[in-house]
Amino acid sequence: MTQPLFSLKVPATTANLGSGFDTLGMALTLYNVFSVTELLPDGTFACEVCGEGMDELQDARENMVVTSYLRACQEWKLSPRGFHLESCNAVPLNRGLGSSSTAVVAGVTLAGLIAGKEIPEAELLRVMTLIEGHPDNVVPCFLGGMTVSCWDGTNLRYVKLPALPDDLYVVAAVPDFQVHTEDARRILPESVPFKDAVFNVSHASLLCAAWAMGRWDLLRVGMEDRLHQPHRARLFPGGEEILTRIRRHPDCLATAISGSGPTMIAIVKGPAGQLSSEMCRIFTAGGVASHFFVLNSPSSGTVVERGQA
Amino acid sequence: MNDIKIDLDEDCIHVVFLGLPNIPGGAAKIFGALCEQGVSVDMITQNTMRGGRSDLSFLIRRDRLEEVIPLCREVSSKVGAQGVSFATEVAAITVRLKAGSPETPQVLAKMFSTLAGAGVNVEIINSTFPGGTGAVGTSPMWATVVCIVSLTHAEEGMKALRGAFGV
Repeated sequence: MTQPLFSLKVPATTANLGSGFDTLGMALTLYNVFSVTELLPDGTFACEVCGEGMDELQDARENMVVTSYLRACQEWKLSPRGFHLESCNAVPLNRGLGSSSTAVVAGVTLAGLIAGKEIPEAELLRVMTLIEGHPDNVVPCFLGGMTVSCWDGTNLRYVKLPALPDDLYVVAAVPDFQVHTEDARRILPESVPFKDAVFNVSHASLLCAAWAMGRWDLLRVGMEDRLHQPHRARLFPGGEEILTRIRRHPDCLATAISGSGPTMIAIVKGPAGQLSSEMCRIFTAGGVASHFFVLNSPSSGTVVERGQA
Repeated sequence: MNDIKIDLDEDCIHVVFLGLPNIPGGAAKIFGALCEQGVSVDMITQNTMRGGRSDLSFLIRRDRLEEVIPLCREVSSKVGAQGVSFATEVAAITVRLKAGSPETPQVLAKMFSTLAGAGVNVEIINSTFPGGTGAVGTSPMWATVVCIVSLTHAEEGMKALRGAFGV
Protein backbone atom coordinates (compact mmCIF):
# COMPACT_ATOMS: atom_id res chain seq x y z
CA MET A 1 0.00 0.00 0.00
CA THR A 2 1.24 3.49 -0.88
CA GLN A 3 2.19 5.59 2.11
CA PRO A 4 -0.15 8.61 2.40
CA LEU A 5 1.25 12.14 2.13
CA PHE A 6 -0.53 13.09 5.33
CA SER A 7 -2.41 10.93 7.78
CA LEU A 8 -4.46 12.44 10.59
CA LYS A 9 -5.67 10.42 13.57
CA VAL A 10 -8.54 12.45 15.00
CA PRO A 11 -10.34 11.58 18.26
CA ALA A 12 -14.04 11.43 19.05
CA THR A 13 -15.26 13.93 21.61
CA THR A 14 -18.04 14.24 24.14
CA ALA A 15 -19.27 17.82 24.43
CA ASN A 16 -22.02 19.85 26.13
CA LEU A 17 -20.77 18.03 29.21
CA GLY A 18 -23.55 18.26 31.80
CA SER A 19 -23.77 21.86 32.97
CA GLY A 20 -21.17 22.98 30.41
CA PHE A 21 -23.43 23.51 27.39
CA ASP A 22 -21.39 24.70 24.36
CA THR A 23 -18.42 25.05 26.73
CA LEU A 24 -17.01 21.80 28.14
CA GLY A 25 -15.76 18.96 26.00
CA MET A 26 -13.44 15.98 26.26
CA ALA A 27 -11.47 13.95 23.72
CA LEU A 28 -12.00 10.18 23.74
CA THR A 29 -9.86 7.22 22.67
CA LEU A 30 -11.94 6.40 19.60
CA TYR A 31 -10.60 7.64 16.27
CA ASN A 32 -11.28 8.53 12.69
CA VAL A 33 -8.26 8.34 10.40
CA PHE A 34 -8.05 10.69 7.40
CA SER A 35 -5.31 10.16 4.82
CA VAL A 36 -4.37 12.28 1.83
CA THR A 37 -2.94 9.81 -0.66
CA GLU A 38 -2.41 12.10 -3.64
CA LEU A 39 -2.47 15.80 -4.48
CA LEU A 40 -4.73 16.81 -7.37
CA PRO A 41 -5.21 20.01 -9.38
CA ASP A 42 -6.81 22.97 -7.59
CA GLY A 43 -10.45 22.37 -6.71
CA THR A 44 -10.42 18.66 -7.66
CA PHE A 45 -11.32 16.24 -4.90
CA ALA A 46 -11.97 12.51 -4.59
CA CYS A 47 -13.11 10.72 -1.42
CA GLU A 48 -13.15 7.11 -0.36
CA VAL A 49 -14.88 6.42 2.93
CA CYS A 50 -14.88 3.18 4.87
CA GLY A 51 -16.54 2.33 8.15
CA GLU A 52 -19.05 4.81 9.58
CA GLY A 53 -20.75 6.94 6.92
CA MET A 54 -19.43 4.96 3.98
CA ASP A 55 -22.81 5.30 2.27
CA GLU A 56 -23.39 8.96 3.08
CA LEU A 57 -20.00 10.63 2.81
CA GLN A 58 -18.54 9.52 -0.52
CA ASP A 59 -19.58 12.65 -2.44
CA ALA A 60 -16.50 14.87 -2.33
CA ARG A 61 -18.53 18.04 -2.93
CA GLU A 62 -20.43 17.48 0.32
CA ASN A 63 -17.75 15.72 2.36
CA MET A 64 -17.15 17.87 5.43
CA VAL A 65 -13.38 17.37 5.36
CA VAL A 66 -13.34 18.89 1.88
CA THR A 67 -15.80 21.70 2.63
CA SER A 68 -13.90 22.60 5.83
CA TYR A 69 -10.61 22.52 3.93
CA LEU A 70 -12.01 24.88 1.27
CA ARG A 71 -13.42 27.22 3.91
CA ALA A 72 -10.04 27.36 5.69
CA CYS A 73 -8.23 28.00 2.39
CA GLN A 74 -10.65 30.84 1.73
CA GLU A 75 -10.15 32.23 5.24
CA TRP A 76 -6.36 32.22 4.86
CA LYS A 77 -6.33 33.08 1.13
CA LEU A 78 -4.58 29.84 0.20
CA SER A 79 -4.71 28.16 -3.17
CA PRO A 80 -7.18 25.22 -2.78
CA ARG A 81 -4.98 22.38 -4.02
CA GLY A 82 -7.13 19.31 -4.65
CA PHE A 83 -6.49 15.91 -3.09
CA HIS A 84 -7.55 12.30 -2.88
CA LEU A 85 -8.85 11.53 0.60
CA GLU A 86 -9.28 8.19 2.34
CA SER A 87 -11.42 8.29 5.50
CA CYS A 88 -11.53 5.31 7.82
CA ASN A 89 -14.29 6.21 10.26
CA ALA A 90 -14.85 4.50 13.59
CA VAL A 91 -16.68 7.38 15.30
CA PRO A 92 -20.44 6.74 14.98
CA LEU A 93 -22.14 9.23 12.67
CA ASN A 94 -24.64 11.76 14.09
CA ARG A 95 -24.71 10.10 17.50
CA GLY A 96 -23.23 12.89 19.63
CA LEU A 97 -19.60 11.76 19.62
CA GLY A 98 -18.23 14.57 17.48
CA SER A 99 -18.01 12.78 14.12
CA SER A 100 -18.54 16.03 12.20
CA SER A 101 -15.91 17.74 14.34
CA THR A 102 -13.33 15.16 13.35
CA ALA A 103 -13.99 16.15 9.72
CA VAL A 104 -13.80 19.88 10.45
CA VAL A 105 -10.58 19.48 12.41
CA ALA A 106 -9.08 17.32 9.65
CA GLY A 107 -10.09 19.70 6.85
CA VAL A 108 -8.78 22.83 8.56
CA THR A 109 -5.56 21.12 9.63
CA LEU A 110 -5.01 19.86 6.07
CA ALA A 111 -5.35 23.39 4.69
CA GLY A 112 -2.24 24.45 6.58
CA LEU A 113 -0.36 21.21 5.93
CA ILE A 114 -0.95 21.09 2.18
CA ALA A 115 -0.07 24.76 1.75
CA GLY A 116 3.07 24.19 3.84
CA LYS A 117 2.09 27.02 6.17
CA GLU A 118 2.53 27.00 9.94
CA ILE A 119 -0.83 28.20 11.18
CA PRO A 120 -0.81 29.08 14.91
CA GLU A 121 -2.87 26.82 17.15
CA ALA A 122 -5.24 29.61 18.22
CA GLU A 123 -5.97 30.54 14.60
CA LEU A 124 -6.57 26.90 13.61
CA LEU A 125 -9.03 26.57 16.50
CA ARG A 126 -10.75 29.88 15.65
CA VAL A 127 -11.46 28.74 12.10
CA MET A 128 -12.53 25.28 13.24
CA THR A 129 -14.97 26.88 15.69
CA LEU A 130 -16.21 29.31 13.03
CA ILE A 131 -17.08 26.37 10.78
CA GLU A 132 -18.54 24.16 13.50
CA GLY A 133 -20.47 27.00 15.17
CA HIS A 134 -19.51 25.98 18.70
CA PRO A 135 -16.12 25.20 20.26
CA ASP A 136 -16.72 22.36 22.70
CA ASN A 137 -16.05 19.52 20.21
CA VAL A 138 -13.35 20.94 17.95
CA VAL A 139 -11.15 22.29 20.75
CA PRO A 140 -10.70 19.00 22.65
CA CYS A 141 -10.67 17.14 19.33
CA PHE A 142 -7.61 19.11 18.26
CA LEU A 143 -5.91 19.52 21.66
CA GLY A 144 -6.93 16.32 23.47
CA GLY A 145 -8.01 16.00 27.11
CA MET A 146 -10.75 18.04 28.73
CA THR A 147 -11.15 21.66 27.65
CA VAL A 148 -13.13 24.73 28.66
CA SER A 149 -13.90 27.03 25.73
CA CYS A 150 -15.49 30.43 25.47
CA TRP A 151 -16.70 31.63 22.04
CA ASP A 152 -18.49 34.92 21.40
CA GLY A 153 -18.92 34.38 17.68
CA THR A 154 -15.63 36.10 16.90
CA ASN A 155 -13.10 35.44 19.64
CA LEU A 156 -12.18 32.09 21.12
CA ARG A 157 -10.59 31.57 24.52
CA TYR A 158 -9.82 28.10 25.86
CA VAL A 159 -8.09 26.27 28.69
CA LYS A 160 -7.04 22.64 28.75
CA LEU A 161 -7.72 21.00 32.11
CA PRO A 162 -5.69 18.17 33.68
CA ALA A 163 -6.29 14.78 32.11
CA LEU A 164 -8.88 12.36 33.40
CA PRO A 165 -6.97 9.85 35.56
CA ASP A 166 -6.26 6.47 33.96
CA ASP A 167 -8.48 4.65 36.46
CA LEU A 168 -11.53 6.64 35.39
CA TYR A 169 -13.32 5.60 32.20
CA VAL A 170 -15.94 7.08 29.97
CA VAL A 171 -18.62 4.60 28.98
CA ALA A 172 -20.36 5.73 25.81
CA ALA A 173 -23.59 3.83 25.14
CA VAL A 174 -24.55 4.39 21.50
CA PRO A 175 -28.13 3.66 20.43
CA ASP A 176 -28.88 2.62 16.89
CA PHE A 177 -30.44 5.81 15.59
CA GLN A 178 -29.23 9.27 14.65
CA VAL A 179 -29.97 12.71 16.05
CA HIS A 180 -29.03 15.71 13.96
CA THR A 181 -27.57 18.63 15.89
CA GLU A 182 -30.05 21.02 14.24
CA ASP A 183 -33.04 19.00 15.52
CA ALA A 184 -31.56 18.81 18.99
CA ARG A 185 -31.01 22.60 18.99
CA ARG A 186 -34.58 23.26 17.85
CA ILE A 187 -36.01 21.58 20.94
CA LEU A 188 -34.23 23.97 23.30
CA PRO A 189 -36.20 26.94 24.68
CA GLU A 190 -35.50 30.50 23.47
CA SER A 191 -34.98 31.67 27.05
CA VAL A 192 -34.56 30.10 30.49
CA PRO A 193 -35.67 31.22 33.95
CA PHE A 194 -33.07 33.27 35.82
CA LYS A 195 -32.85 30.69 38.61
CA ASP A 196 -31.98 27.99 36.07
CA ALA A 197 -29.25 30.18 34.60
CA VAL A 198 -27.81 30.66 38.08
CA PHE A 199 -28.08 26.92 38.70
CA ASN A 200 -25.99 26.19 35.62
CA VAL A 201 -23.40 28.88 36.29
CA SER A 202 -22.81 27.49 39.77
CA HIS A 203 -22.72 23.85 38.66
CA ALA A 204 -20.48 24.44 35.64
CA SER A 205 -18.09 26.45 37.82
CA LEU A 206 -18.08 23.67 40.41
CA LEU A 207 -17.43 21.10 37.69
CA CYS A 208 -14.41 23.00 36.31
CA ALA A 209 -12.99 23.64 39.75
CA ALA A 210 -13.52 20.02 40.80
CA TRP A 211 -11.85 18.78 37.60
CA ALA A 212 -8.89 21.13 38.05
CA MET A 213 -8.41 20.01 41.66
CA GLY A 214 -9.06 16.32 41.10
CA ARG A 215 -12.18 16.36 43.25
CA TRP A 216 -13.84 13.56 41.30
CA ASP A 217 -16.38 13.10 44.10
CA LEU A 218 -17.99 16.37 42.97
CA LEU A 219 -18.49 15.39 39.31
CA ARG A 220 -21.97 14.04 39.88
CA VAL A 221 -23.25 17.33 41.27
CA GLY A 222 -21.14 19.49 38.95
CA MET A 223 -22.61 17.85 35.86
CA GLU A 224 -26.22 18.52 36.86
CA ASP A 225 -27.88 20.68 34.24
CA ARG A 226 -31.09 22.59 33.61
CA LEU A 227 -30.36 24.14 30.20
CA HIS A 228 -30.37 21.31 27.71
CA GLN A 229 -30.48 17.80 29.17
CA PRO A 230 -34.04 17.95 30.58
CA HIS A 231 -35.28 18.82 27.07
CA ARG A 232 -33.07 16.56 25.00
CA ALA A 233 -33.33 13.48 27.22
CA ARG A 234 -36.96 13.24 26.06
CA LEU A 235 -35.92 13.11 22.41
CA PHE A 236 -35.02 9.43 22.54
CA PRO A 237 -36.10 6.37 24.55
CA GLY A 238 -33.91 5.68 27.55
CA GLY A 239 -32.38 9.15 27.84
CA GLU A 240 -34.11 10.22 31.04
CA GLU A 241 -33.81 6.82 32.67
CA ILE A 242 -30.08 6.58 32.05
CA LEU A 243 -29.53 10.07 33.43
CA THR A 244 -31.39 9.31 36.64
CA ARG A 245 -30.89 5.57 37.21
CA ILE A 246 -27.32 4.99 36.07
CA ARG A 247 -26.00 7.94 38.07
CA ARG A 248 -27.06 6.09 41.24
CA HIS A 249 -24.86 3.10 40.34
CA PRO A 250 -22.05 2.81 42.94
CA ASP A 251 -19.29 2.84 40.26
CA CYS A 252 -20.74 5.82 38.43
CA LEU A 253 -19.32 9.29 39.07
CA ALA A 254 -21.56 11.14 36.62
CA THR A 255 -23.87 10.71 33.64
CA ALA A 256 -24.61 13.02 30.72
CA ILE A 257 -26.00 13.23 27.22
CA SER A 258 -23.01 13.24 24.88
CA GLY A 259 -23.14 16.27 22.61
CA SER A 260 -26.70 16.60 21.43
CA GLY A 261 -27.33 12.86 21.86
CA PRO A 262 -28.47 10.19 21.52
CA THR A 263 -25.25 8.68 22.92
CA MET A 264 -25.23 8.66 26.70
CA ILE A 265 -22.04 8.71 28.69
CA ALA A 266 -21.15 7.68 32.22
CA ILE A 267 -17.88 8.46 33.94
CA VAL A 268 -16.96 5.30 35.80
CA LYS A 269 -14.47 4.21 38.41
CA GLY A 270 -14.01 0.45 38.62
CA PRO A 271 -15.21 -2.37 36.38
CA ALA A 272 -17.32 -0.97 33.56
CA GLY A 273 -19.05 -4.05 32.17
CA GLN A 274 -22.07 -4.28 34.42
CA LEU A 275 -22.84 -0.57 34.25
CA SER A 276 -22.36 -0.45 30.47
CA SER A 277 -24.65 -3.44 30.00
CA GLU A 278 -27.25 -1.74 32.17
CA MET A 279 -27.16 1.37 29.98
CA CYS A 280 -27.70 -0.72 26.86
CA ARG A 281 -30.45 -2.71 28.57
CA ILE A 282 -32.34 0.55 29.12
CA PHE A 283 -32.09 1.29 25.40
CA THR A 284 -33.34 -2.23 24.64
CA ALA A 285 -36.32 -1.69 26.95
CA GLY A 286 -37.11 1.34 24.79
CA GLY A 287 -37.00 -0.84 21.68
CA VAL A 288 -33.63 0.46 20.48
CA ALA A 289 -30.53 -1.60 19.72
CA SER A 290 -27.22 -0.26 21.02
CA HIS A 291 -23.57 -0.96 21.67
CA PHE A 292 -20.99 0.63 23.92
CA PHE A 293 -17.39 1.77 24.15
CA VAL A 294 -15.24 2.00 27.27
CA LEU A 295 -12.84 4.88 26.66
CA ASN A 296 -10.19 7.04 28.24
CA SER A 297 -9.53 10.67 27.52
CA PRO A 298 -6.25 10.94 25.56
CA SER A 299 -3.94 13.77 26.58
CA SER A 300 -3.01 14.33 22.95
CA GLY A 301 -5.62 15.29 20.39
CA THR A 302 -5.21 15.19 16.62
CA VAL A 303 -2.01 13.45 15.57
CA VAL A 304 -0.48 14.16 12.15
CA GLU A 305 1.83 11.75 10.38
CA ARG A 306 3.67 12.93 7.29
CA GLY A 307 4.67 10.60 4.50
CA GLN A 308 7.07 11.35 1.70
CA ALA A 309 5.97 14.08 -0.69
CA MET B 1 -39.66 -31.12 11.26
CA ASN B 2 -37.10 -33.51 12.76
CA ASP B 3 -34.42 -32.41 10.35
CA ILE B 4 -34.27 -28.84 11.62
CA LYS B 5 -33.39 -27.46 15.05
CA ILE B 6 -33.61 -23.83 16.05
CA ASP B 7 -31.97 -22.41 19.18
CA LEU B 8 -31.63 -19.01 20.80
CA ASP B 9 -28.52 -18.02 22.74
CA GLU B 10 -28.83 -14.79 24.74
CA ASP B 11 -25.60 -15.38 26.63
CA CYS B 12 -23.19 -14.03 24.02
CA ILE B 13 -21.49 -10.66 23.63
CA HIS B 14 -20.26 -9.24 20.35
CA VAL B 15 -16.83 -7.58 20.43
CA VAL B 16 -15.57 -5.55 17.45
CA PHE B 17 -12.05 -4.21 16.92
CA LEU B 18 -12.62 -1.24 14.60
CA GLY B 19 -10.14 -0.17 11.96
CA LEU B 20 -7.42 -2.72 12.61
CA PRO B 21 -4.40 -1.94 10.40
CA ASN B 22 -3.91 -4.56 7.70
CA ILE B 23 -0.48 -5.63 8.83
CA PRO B 24 0.58 -9.07 10.06
CA GLY B 25 0.30 -9.72 13.78
CA GLY B 26 -2.87 -7.87 14.81
CA ALA B 27 -5.08 -10.94 15.14
CA ALA B 28 -2.20 -12.86 16.76
CA LYS B 29 -1.89 -10.23 19.51
CA ILE B 30 -5.65 -10.08 20.10
CA PHE B 31 -6.25 -13.82 20.30
CA GLY B 32 -2.97 -14.38 22.11
CA ALA B 33 -4.09 -12.02 24.87
CA LEU B 34 -7.51 -13.66 25.08
CA CYS B 35 -5.89 -17.09 25.19
CA GLU B 36 -3.64 -16.04 28.07
CA GLN B 37 -6.77 -15.17 30.05
CA GLY B 38 -8.45 -18.44 29.06
CA VAL B 39 -11.22 -16.63 27.19
CA SER B 40 -12.94 -18.72 24.54
CA VAL B 41 -14.21 -16.98 21.43
CA ASP B 42 -16.55 -17.95 18.64
CA MET B 43 -17.64 -16.64 15.23
CA ILE B 44 -14.46 -14.76 14.36
CA THR B 45 -15.15 -12.50 11.39
CA GLN B 46 -12.87 -10.05 9.61
CA ASN B 47 -14.26 -7.55 7.11
CA THR B 48 -11.80 -6.21 4.61
CA MET B 49 -12.20 -2.49 4.14
CA ARG B 50 -10.47 0.09 2.02
CA GLY B 51 -7.80 2.33 3.42
CA GLY B 52 -5.63 -0.50 4.69
CA ARG B 53 -7.84 -1.26 7.66
CA SER B 54 -10.41 -3.86 8.61
CA ASP B 55 -12.88 -4.66 11.37
CA LEU B 56 -12.37 -7.85 13.34
CA SER B 57 -15.19 -9.21 15.46
CA PHE B 58 -15.96 -12.24 17.60
CA LEU B 59 -18.28 -13.49 20.31
CA ILE B 60 -17.46 -14.10 23.96
CA ARG B 61 -19.58 -15.48 26.77
CA ARG B 62 -21.38 -12.94 28.94
CA ASP B 63 -19.70 -14.00 32.17
CA ARG B 64 -16.26 -13.00 30.81
CA LEU B 65 -17.18 -9.39 29.97
CA GLU B 66 -15.58 -7.66 32.95
CA GLU B 67 -12.16 -9.17 32.25
CA VAL B 68 -12.42 -8.88 28.47
CA ILE B 69 -13.12 -5.11 28.46
CA PRO B 70 -9.77 -3.97 29.92
CA LEU B 71 -7.92 -6.67 28.00
CA CYS B 72 -9.39 -5.59 24.65
CA ARG B 73 -8.83 -1.91 25.36
CA GLU B 74 -5.17 -2.57 26.08
CA VAL B 75 -4.68 -4.73 22.99
CA SER B 76 -6.62 -2.26 20.83
CA SER B 77 -4.10 0.43 21.68
CA LYS B 78 -1.15 -1.93 21.04
CA VAL B 79 -2.36 -3.05 17.61
CA GLY B 80 -3.29 0.47 16.47
CA ALA B 81 -7.03 -0.17 16.14
CA GLN B 82 -9.31 2.86 15.96
CA GLY B 83 -11.41 1.57 18.85
CA VAL B 84 -13.17 -1.47 20.27
CA SER B 85 -16.91 -1.78 20.78
CA PHE B 86 -19.04 -4.18 22.77
CA ALA B 87 -22.64 -5.22 22.14
CA THR B 88 -24.28 -6.94 25.08
CA GLU B 89 -27.83 -6.69 23.79
CA VAL B 90 -27.47 -9.32 21.08
CA ALA B 91 -28.54 -12.91 20.63
CA ALA B 92 -27.47 -15.76 18.40
CA ILE B 93 -30.20 -17.60 16.51
CA THR B 94 -28.85 -20.96 15.38
CA VAL B 95 -30.55 -23.06 12.74
CA ARG B 96 -29.24 -26.60 12.34
CA LEU B 97 -30.27 -28.94 9.59
CA LYS B 98 -29.27 -32.50 8.90
CA ALA B 99 -26.06 -32.65 6.94
CA GLY B 100 -26.41 -33.50 3.27
CA SER B 101 -30.08 -32.59 3.08
CA PRO B 102 -30.99 -31.82 -0.54
CA GLU B 103 -33.31 -29.11 0.78
CA THR B 104 -30.47 -27.05 2.23
CA PRO B 105 -30.73 -24.18 -0.31
CA GLN B 106 -34.51 -23.96 0.21
CA VAL B 107 -34.10 -23.99 3.99
CA LEU B 108 -31.56 -21.18 3.84
CA ALA B 109 -33.73 -19.08 1.54
CA LYS B 110 -36.78 -19.65 3.74
CA MET B 111 -34.82 -18.88 6.90
CA PHE B 112 -33.59 -15.49 5.69
CA SER B 113 -36.86 -14.50 4.06
CA THR B 114 -38.70 -15.41 7.28
CA LEU B 115 -36.36 -13.25 9.36
CA ALA B 116 -36.70 -10.40 6.87
CA GLY B 117 -40.48 -10.74 6.86
CA ALA B 118 -40.46 -10.46 10.66
CA GLY B 119 -38.42 -7.26 10.39
CA VAL B 120 -35.36 -8.84 11.98
CA ASN B 121 -32.08 -7.36 10.79
CA VAL B 122 -29.28 -9.91 10.81
CA GLU B 123 -26.04 -8.25 11.89
CA ILE B 124 -23.67 -11.17 11.29
CA ILE B 125 -24.10 -14.50 9.56
CA ASN B 126 -21.84 -17.48 10.02
CA SER B 127 -22.29 -20.96 8.63
CA THR B 128 -20.55 -24.29 8.96
CA PHE B 129 -21.25 -27.27 6.80
CA PRO B 130 -19.88 -30.77 7.44
CA GLY B 131 -16.60 -31.16 5.65
CA GLY B 132 -15.90 -27.49 6.22
CA THR B 133 -13.66 -25.98 8.89
CA GLY B 134 -15.63 -27.36 11.86
CA ALA B 135 -16.30 -24.26 13.99
CA VAL B 136 -16.71 -24.40 17.74
CA GLY B 137 -20.02 -25.83 18.89
CA THR B 138 -21.02 -27.39 15.60
CA SER B 139 -21.63 -31.03 14.90
CA PRO B 140 -20.35 -33.00 11.90
CA MET B 141 -23.89 -34.37 11.57
CA TRP B 142 -25.52 -30.96 11.22
CA ALA B 143 -25.11 -28.00 8.94
CA THR B 144 -25.26 -24.90 11.10
CA VAL B 145 -26.19 -21.30 10.35
CA VAL B 146 -25.79 -18.73 13.11
CA CYS B 147 -27.36 -15.27 12.88
CA ILE B 148 -26.47 -12.53 15.32
CA VAL B 149 -29.45 -10.25 15.88
CA SER B 150 -30.37 -7.47 18.25
CA LEU B 151 -32.04 -8.67 21.47
CA THR B 152 -34.88 -6.31 20.63
CA HIS B 153 -35.80 -8.61 17.72
CA ALA B 154 -34.59 -12.01 18.93
CA GLU B 155 -37.92 -13.34 20.23
CA GLU B 156 -39.78 -12.17 17.14
CA GLY B 157 -37.19 -13.90 14.97
CA MET B 158 -37.45 -17.15 16.90
CA LYS B 159 -41.24 -17.09 16.81
CA ALA B 160 -41.26 -16.47 13.06
CA LEU B 161 -38.73 -19.22 12.35
CA ARG B 162 -40.50 -21.77 14.54
CA GLY B 163 -43.73 -20.95 12.77
CA ALA B 164 -42.17 -21.16 9.32
CA PHE B 165 -40.47 -24.49 9.93
CA GLY B 166 -43.08 -25.99 12.26
CA VAL B 167 -40.64 -26.76 15.08
